[in-house]
Amino acid sequence: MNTPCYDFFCPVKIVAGVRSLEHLPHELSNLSASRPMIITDIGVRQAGLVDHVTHAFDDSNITIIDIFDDVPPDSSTSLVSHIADRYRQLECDCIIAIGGGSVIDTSKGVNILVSEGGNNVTDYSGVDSLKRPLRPFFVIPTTAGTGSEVTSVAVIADSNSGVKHIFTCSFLLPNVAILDPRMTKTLPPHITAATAIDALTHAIEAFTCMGKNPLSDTYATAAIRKISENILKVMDNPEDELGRLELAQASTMAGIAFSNSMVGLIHALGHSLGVVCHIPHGLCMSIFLPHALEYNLHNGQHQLSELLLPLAGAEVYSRTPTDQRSQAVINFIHDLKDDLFERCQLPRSLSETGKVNKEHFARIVELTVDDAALILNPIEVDRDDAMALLHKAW
Amino acid sequence: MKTEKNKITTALRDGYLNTMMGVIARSLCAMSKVDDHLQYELSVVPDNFVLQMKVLPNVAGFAVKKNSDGHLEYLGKEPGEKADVTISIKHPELAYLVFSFQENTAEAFARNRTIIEGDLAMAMRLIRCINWLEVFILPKAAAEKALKRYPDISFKEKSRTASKIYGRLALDMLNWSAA
Ligand SMILES: [Fe+2]
Repeated sequence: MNTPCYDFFCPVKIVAGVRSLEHLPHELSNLSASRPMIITDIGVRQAGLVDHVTHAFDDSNITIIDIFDDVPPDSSTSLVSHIADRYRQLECDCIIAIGGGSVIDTSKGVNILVSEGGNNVTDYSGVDSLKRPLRPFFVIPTTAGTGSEVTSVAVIADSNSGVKHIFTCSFLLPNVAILDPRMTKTLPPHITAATAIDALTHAIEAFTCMGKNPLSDTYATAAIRKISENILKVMDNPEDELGRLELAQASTMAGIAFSNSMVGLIHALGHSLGVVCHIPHGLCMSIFLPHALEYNLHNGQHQLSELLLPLAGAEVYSRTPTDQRSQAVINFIHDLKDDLFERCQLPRSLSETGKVNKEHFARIVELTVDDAALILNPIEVDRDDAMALLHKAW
Repeated sequence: MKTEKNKITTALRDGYLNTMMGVIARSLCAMSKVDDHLQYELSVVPDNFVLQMKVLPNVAGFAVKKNSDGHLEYLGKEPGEKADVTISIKHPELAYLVFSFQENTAEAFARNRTIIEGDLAMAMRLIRCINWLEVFILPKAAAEKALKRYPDISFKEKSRTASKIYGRLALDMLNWSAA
């Protein structure tokens, strides 16, 4: 079903390419910012990635005021308050987030507090709670997957109750996102693979779910092409800077696509599996991707066949009969999973993760049917459907 | 500026919205007392949980609360307290598309015509409850339009549940008028 009525919004300036980190001092000056605080995690710092950023400021008149490098994989409200205090004490005037989803979400939370005041970020949770632009905010992703640099959402867990607070507001978007190939070059193979599949899933769900629109479709198909053309090249040659840059751009494009159209069943299942079995998000996506697409296809989903062109290229597309293109998309994804398994042992099924057992299924099913991502899945999914999908993915 | 004719159309539309939303809310409360499936969905919703649905800017709406017996209770057009989940439709014309079954709820979400605030998991549950209700109280053609998938139930089952809902609704109405 094509949706002729839509909103589309992405005000983030994207600075991409070789040596794009060196644009950062100028981007700060553009927004009259001169006292940056870097927020990152220890892994990113130990990989030497923060050094690339600080070196970019060597020949500028801007000094990095502080580097906070202790963001854990799951951020929390108390951490956000703690970092905000530091920012205020040191009189910083902007944030540079360097990292993946958790670092970026934490930084979004910190930016709320340092801009709006207060010590409890949950005061601003929910939809559109912020009414004016926040302080200057720069994001440098170090994984090519989440697309958080272009999404207006942050998820931050409550330190006491563990409840995940969701913040949705366009003012959370950074002013500038920098995609520099140096930042993803050292990403280990299994994370490169899993995050690329996450980006691929964002693009495919953007294109096949009910919020799709002509603008998100354009970003989605372009992202799919870049991912399928580069993922194995980068796996075989991790030093391939240009391939890395293509994946980073694809991740951002897929992020723009899904944040303007939303995701569906694959994310609903993946969120739930992640919560119950503590499996990384990208891996969850990889496990469910072909099965959920097949479920939607067999229950009347139409758009999948069009994705064979960006996914497999013109030659395969033109020699595949029209009525077999949707199935060819699913087969292509199964083959891609096999290729990735061969290269980095990325598990292809729930059983291959070694962390899931069938007793978990009932809980995963309950969380799945309660996941808001199901609203815009084109096909209805009830408890029995979700359970059948888990068995298929076993 | 609204012309005289527009005013009448608007008043009719808003009246229709208020009636429809009132019927849905009251039927949902009635159904919560007689239907196992709905009771199962509601079993994990916390007591005193309030769901509000409204049409901006406060044109129509309803609020229901889960009471300690596990049933839903009709609170009125507005909750009179802070709702735990609020589903707002941005304009009465957009609400009319939904409640006249020209556009289904999922399409309205997809087209950014609605805003959901609060506990999303509970919102999903309550949306499922409303969908389930619609299967029984709407004519099949309207329900098929309103839902992504019309469930596999027999006409007999549909009539039986519908008459239970209406019976309960009639009792509730008597209680309201007596109160
Ligand atoms: Fe994702």
